[in-house]
Parts: sequence; structure tokens; C-alpha cells
Amino acid sequence: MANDPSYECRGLRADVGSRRGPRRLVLDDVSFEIAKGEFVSIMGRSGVGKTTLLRTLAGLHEASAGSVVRFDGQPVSGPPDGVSLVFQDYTSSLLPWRTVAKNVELPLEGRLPTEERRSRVAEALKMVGLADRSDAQPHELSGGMQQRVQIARALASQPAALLMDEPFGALDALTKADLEDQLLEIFAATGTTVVFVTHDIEEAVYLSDRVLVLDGTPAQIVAEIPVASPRPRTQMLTRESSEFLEARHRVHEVIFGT
Amino acid sequence: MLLALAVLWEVLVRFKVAEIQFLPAPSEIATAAQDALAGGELLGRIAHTLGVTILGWGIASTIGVALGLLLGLSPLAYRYSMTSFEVTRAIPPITFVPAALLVFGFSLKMELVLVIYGGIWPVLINTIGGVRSIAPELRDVGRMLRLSRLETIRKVVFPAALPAILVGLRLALSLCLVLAIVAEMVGNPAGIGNGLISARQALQPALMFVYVIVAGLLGVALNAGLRASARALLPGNVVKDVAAP
Repeated sequence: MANDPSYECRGLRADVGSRRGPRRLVLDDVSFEIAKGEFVSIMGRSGVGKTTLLRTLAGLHEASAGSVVRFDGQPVSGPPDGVSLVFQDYTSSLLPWRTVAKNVELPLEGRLPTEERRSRVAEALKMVGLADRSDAQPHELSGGMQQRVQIARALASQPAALLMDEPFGALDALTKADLEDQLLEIFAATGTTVVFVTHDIEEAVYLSDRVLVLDGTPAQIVAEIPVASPRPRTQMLTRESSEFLEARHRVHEVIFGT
Repeated sequence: MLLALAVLWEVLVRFKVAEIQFLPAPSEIATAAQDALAGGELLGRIAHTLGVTILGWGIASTIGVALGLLLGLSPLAYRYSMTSFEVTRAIPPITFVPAALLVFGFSLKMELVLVIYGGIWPVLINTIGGVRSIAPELRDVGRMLRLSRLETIRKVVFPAALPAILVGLRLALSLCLVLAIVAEMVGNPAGIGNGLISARQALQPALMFVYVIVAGLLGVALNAGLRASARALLPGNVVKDVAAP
């Protein structure tokens, strides 16, 4: 049904720790829904469990027994079909021995005929503005470009949901602004659901329809802040609009208390 | 440098400055080399040693890489076998020569077994190290892109571990040559090692030195060959640290 949520979490608990050492509960009773085609950011102080939450949604981290985590109505156990993840660290996520195009093609190999693979790769690279660098080696590209390659790889499988773990955290401010706008264009063009983890309040508000704030140990969702700014958004106008400032203010309040 | 040393050596021996019995002058060694080459004996011995070294190294590499991938990928296999491997590895391969001689006799089989056994270790240890040092993110990437286990090994794990594996292959190749020559000296009556011993027994010191030099050249040639093929077969950024002399 069209009104089914993309993601649904009820009473999500998750702990982390080594196999032998003691396990630490980081998420307790986390509940939320994410609608199809919605852009949701997950915010919180560093170490609060944002990445654990995202990894749980991606099926890379197993939630504790009793938790409900559904994607598209199906319980998540292992990476669900139709979900792509963009990792924070692009240097260790791209295969340095493959060219840009070959990196993007990796998830399609053996699944699609060659012709279709080629056109999908070209399309994905065009979306991130790297159509002319398809034969480059990753190490020849700047950090921002490498992250674009990773985004293109995530897009190549035409995901229903795109999970992003602080994807622009390691980039300089100008590159970051560029990539934010590009992401918004991709979001508008593909209609994919985006779950975006960040510790940058402005970024979260600028990009999202809704900002979820995680806090506490173990962490819970302490606030859900909708962002009313209309789309399409632009760096200058949106960031000066009252809707933006109001949402930013509220997120700030929740995180810093005043 | 080497040339100057050879001239000095020639002068010392020629003018009897250093009177050492059975120390041939470089010119005598050169003559002996010519004779050995002309007789075809030298080439035959080189072919034998080279053949055994490469064959043994190839088998050892295959076993080492396969076993290394398994142990590197499976924490369970790693935990249960590493202690045994560490103990076994500490025994120098040469100490197995008498045992191999008893079991396999003075044969090619004995030589091959020794070469393979010694060659496995560097490949195995480096492969395990290479696989285990792969960034955990890369494994997550494999899972997120829904690569099958085999695809992950072939497309992610193996290429990522390749630089370490190549280091192991290089170490193993030099070791295999050494072991082949040792095996020929004490066991299998063929190849350069046997040539060395025969020359000594026949009191032909010049010929002996020919074999010493040939063994050295063979080592250099094998190493260069491996580097060249690595460069030819692999993209530049993988080979960088391996192709360095």
C-alpha cells in the first residue's frame, strides 16, 4: 500500500561491544516511522548511537530481541533489498584498484546485462556530476569527488531508501554545501527515501523534512522537529527563511537545553 | 664495485700475494664457466633447479593463498589452528631434510616436498595478515552491495590483500630457490646444488665458483621476473610497494 511507511521502528534496543567484553546498551525503546519519499535526519551528540541506529536500519547491526525494525513492511535481518548505504569514510569504502566507473558498477555485476549496467553507471555518475571522470582511479580524485563516487555507487542499484552516515562530515565547508545541493537534486529527481545521520544542525535542517534527535544513555528519540521550509531549497534563501531559523532554533534547544 | 673486487681478487691470486689452496682466480672461473656452458651440463643443471623452484613455488603459493584466505576469513579456523602453525613454522625447513630423505629417498620428490613445504609459510602468513588487516568498512561494503561470499572474496578480499600476498610470494620465491639447492646438495643428485658438491668432490674449485655465481644470478633473475610479471598483470597502485627492489 502506498501509505505504508518506508521504515518502521518500535521499541528498538541495540547494544554494542566486543564478543568477549561486556556489552553496552546504546539504544533503548527507539520508535519512529519514516514515510516513503521522506528526507529524515538523525541528530545527536557524538557517541550517542546515531551510527548504531543507522547500521541497524541497514541490517549491518542486529537489534536486540523484541525490537521491531521493518523496512517496507518486512522485518530487517541483514541488508534489505532496495536499501543503499553511503559510508562516512569514503577512502576505505571505495575499492582503490577499480576505476570510478568500475566502483559504481560493482553492485550491478552479475545482476544486469552489460548494456543496462553501462547506462545505469553513466546515469548515476551524471547525477553526481562525475560523468567525465569515469576512468579515473579513486586516489586521483579529491575527497568530495570520492564521496560523490560512493553516492553514485549507492544510487546505481536504484534504491528505495538511501541511508547516509555523516557523508559530508570530513569535507570542507564549500564542498559540503555543493554536495548538499546535489543531494537535494538527486532526492527530488529520484524520489528515494533518505535517512541522513549528521552532527551538523544546519545541515540536518537544510536537507530534511524532519529531524529526529537522539539523546541519553541509552539513547532515545527526544524530539521530532519538522522543517516547514518549502522545496526546492537553496543555500542562501532557505537558510535565511523563518521556517529554517525556527527549526534550527528548536533543534538547538533540544540538544543544548537552552 | 663488483668489477673492482674481481680485479683485486685476480691480482691477489695471480701474483700469489694470497696463497690460499683451491682459490681459483676469476679468469679460471670464467674459463670453467665457458667449458661448462659448452658441455651443456651447466644449462641442464640450471633448467633443473629453475624448474623445481618455479614448480614448487607455484604449488606452495596456491596452497598458501587458499589456506591463508580461509584462515584470514574464518575467525574460528584461525583460533583453532594458529598455535599449531606457529609451532610448526618455527622448525626450519632444512631440519626436515633427513626425514624427507628417509621417506622419499634421493629423488625429485624429496626435493619438491622440501621446496613446497618451505615455500608455503611466507605465502600463508602474509596472506592471513593481508586478509585480516582489511578495513572492516570494506566488508560492510561487500554486505551492503549484496555481494555473495564468493564475490566478496574474489572482488573485495583478494584484491585488498593482494599487496601483502605479493610480498609473501616474493619471499617464498627466494626461499624456494635456496631450499631447492640445499635439497640438491644433500639429496636429489641433480641441479646446481649437486653441481656444487660434485665440483668440490672432483677438486674443481673453479667450476664450484661457477655454480655459486650461477645460483646468485638465478636468484636475481627470478626476483626480477616476478616483479616484471606483477607489473605487467596488475594495476600500478597495487604493485607500487611490491615492485620496489
